[in-house]
Amino acid sequence: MEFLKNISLKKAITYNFWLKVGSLIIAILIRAYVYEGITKGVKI
Amino acid sequence: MDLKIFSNWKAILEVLILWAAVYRIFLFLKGTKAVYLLRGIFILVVSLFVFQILGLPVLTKLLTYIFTAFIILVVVIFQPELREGLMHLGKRHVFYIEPKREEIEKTLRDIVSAGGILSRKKIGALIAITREIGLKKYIESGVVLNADLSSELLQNIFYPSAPLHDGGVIVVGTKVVAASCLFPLSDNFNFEKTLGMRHRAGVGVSENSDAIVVIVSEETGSISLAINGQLTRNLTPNDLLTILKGQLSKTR
Repeated sequence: MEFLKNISLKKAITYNFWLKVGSLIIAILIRAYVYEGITKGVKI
Repeated sequence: MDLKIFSNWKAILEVLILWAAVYRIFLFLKGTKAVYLLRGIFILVVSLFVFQILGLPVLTKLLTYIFTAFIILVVVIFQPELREGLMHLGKRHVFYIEPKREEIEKTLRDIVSAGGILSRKKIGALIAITREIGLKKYIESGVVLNADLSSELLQNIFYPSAPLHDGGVIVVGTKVVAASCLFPLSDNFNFEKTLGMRHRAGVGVSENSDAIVVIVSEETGSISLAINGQLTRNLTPNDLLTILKGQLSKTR
């Protein structure tokens, strides 16, 4: 478990922060859009 | 038991997996020309979602048609990047038996020795050192040798009047697998005009694989190294050996 000592939570959040935020938004949109397509039978 | 809890944790898990996948794709494309395209796609996706929420059926339908055509265009335009991405995804070999460290070091010293001698004599050379991604299609374009690598063999191959001197040599482990191989030319528009086809071919094969390519210029005798589409020029034999050792130890 040596590698745990080298993990910095602050660095994990701040590194490529906006890229992570953008990825999260897109992931939520994709999930919502595809789920809606599945449940309501809407053709994508 | 409230089944909604399960549906919530499943939704969270799906979002997390999608987040990781999207983030990795963005990381891969960061620093490439495809990043500008991603911004366009992001705007389209967000707009589509907003139009749907606002209940604007005509705009939603229009944007859906545009988005579908856009996706097909993206695949056509960014086919090299997609191919590279898939290669990176599947590049770990399971049954590859590595040569011993001492054998690899001897191979590198032989390559550097040959490079130094060819450089002094201003004899052009192009040597691709395979790492994890195989170069089978380029091997098939050349003459298969499967010979133990030595400095003398490389010098012999690239000797100007030798039958195999045109094209590139492919090294796998401690073997010269093929010579006189055709490498793809780089389509990088920023390539220096003073550099010839040999350098362009070296950079080209490094763009299409993870091979490390040693290039000796016929005009100036300078030694260059191409890795992942990046060319490092005017290396001394010592520099070359240091970089090769560093790069190949990363692969292990």
